[in-house]
Amino acid sequence: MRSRALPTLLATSTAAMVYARYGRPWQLTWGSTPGELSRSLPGDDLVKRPTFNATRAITIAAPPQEVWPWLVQVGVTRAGWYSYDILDNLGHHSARRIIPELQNLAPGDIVPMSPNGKAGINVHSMDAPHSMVWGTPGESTWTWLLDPAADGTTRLISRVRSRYNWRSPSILMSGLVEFTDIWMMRKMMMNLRDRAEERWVQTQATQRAGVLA
Amino acid sequence: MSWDEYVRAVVRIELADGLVQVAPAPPGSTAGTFPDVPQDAVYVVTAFNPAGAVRPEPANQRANAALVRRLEADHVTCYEACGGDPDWTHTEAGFALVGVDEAYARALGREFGQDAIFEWTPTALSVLACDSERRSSAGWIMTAG
Repeated sequence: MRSRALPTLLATSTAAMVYARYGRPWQLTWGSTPGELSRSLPGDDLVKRPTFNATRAITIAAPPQEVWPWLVQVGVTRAGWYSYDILDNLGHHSARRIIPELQNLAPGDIVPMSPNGKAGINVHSMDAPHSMVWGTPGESTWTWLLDPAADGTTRLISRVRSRYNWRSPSILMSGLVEFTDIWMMRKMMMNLRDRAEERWVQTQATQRAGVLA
Repeated sequence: MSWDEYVRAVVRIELADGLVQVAPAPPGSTAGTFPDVPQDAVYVVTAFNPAGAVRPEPANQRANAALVRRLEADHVTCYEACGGDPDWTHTEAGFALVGVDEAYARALGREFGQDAIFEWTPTALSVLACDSERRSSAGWIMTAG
């Protein structure tokens, strides 16, 4: 047993060191500019001293009002998460269209994460089509900011802040977020971008056709 | 930030070629490709939280705006940058300056109330005091943005 313990310990230590040095810095800041990383976002004050504070961002070639509808309809039993559907949407394909009946998300609602659609993240506040804060004050928050650029594009910024509670079973979920969140988030943001851009191109083409007619 | 916090800090810069993130590593070791910049040195300076006192964000933004005006007046090439603790729970926005020398960068930091600034070269990531010749140098490791 002892002969196996040492290699395991070494492998674990090496993996932890590699993650701390390369993985964590990348995953906490993926795509975000220095300005986005250092600016305050709505909801920051709800988790004052986070253990996990990740800011990710992506440019979407569509204005915020075209991105917003894709965001408010997310959730299990809703439009999905646009991520790895087999992992986070019960294997169902995430929506590829805007679903009008899912556009009425409001503070106090839940963004479902459970198979029955009843458990998930609380919607704390919304400022359409600019920002949205989900989460539980003092524990964790997930903020979305849609920042319009002068060229008509949107910077979609996501910030997750959570405070690990080492003596609670929730630490297992925190551990999952620590190591896997970036993969799901990155996929979600890129797929959301693709959907929004595709629809925006179609909308503009339709508008041009209408003008010409 | 205390001196120790400066020494542990990570720097993120939006260079013309894209985002880079540089963290301290054991002295003498470097990992990554240093950018092609004049004088082989990048200085990172902020106007946030002068004298180490945490100020409200609007005040810090105004201070950084004044720093930008100063850099423009001096015709200094600069890029958006920030420094923070390795977990990014505390960050300070600033600017990466290229084509300037150490004396200019130190003086600029001093003018804007800073205790220290960062110097990134092909061989070291250093913290330079603004009011003395104090310097702490480490190696560096670069991660992509």
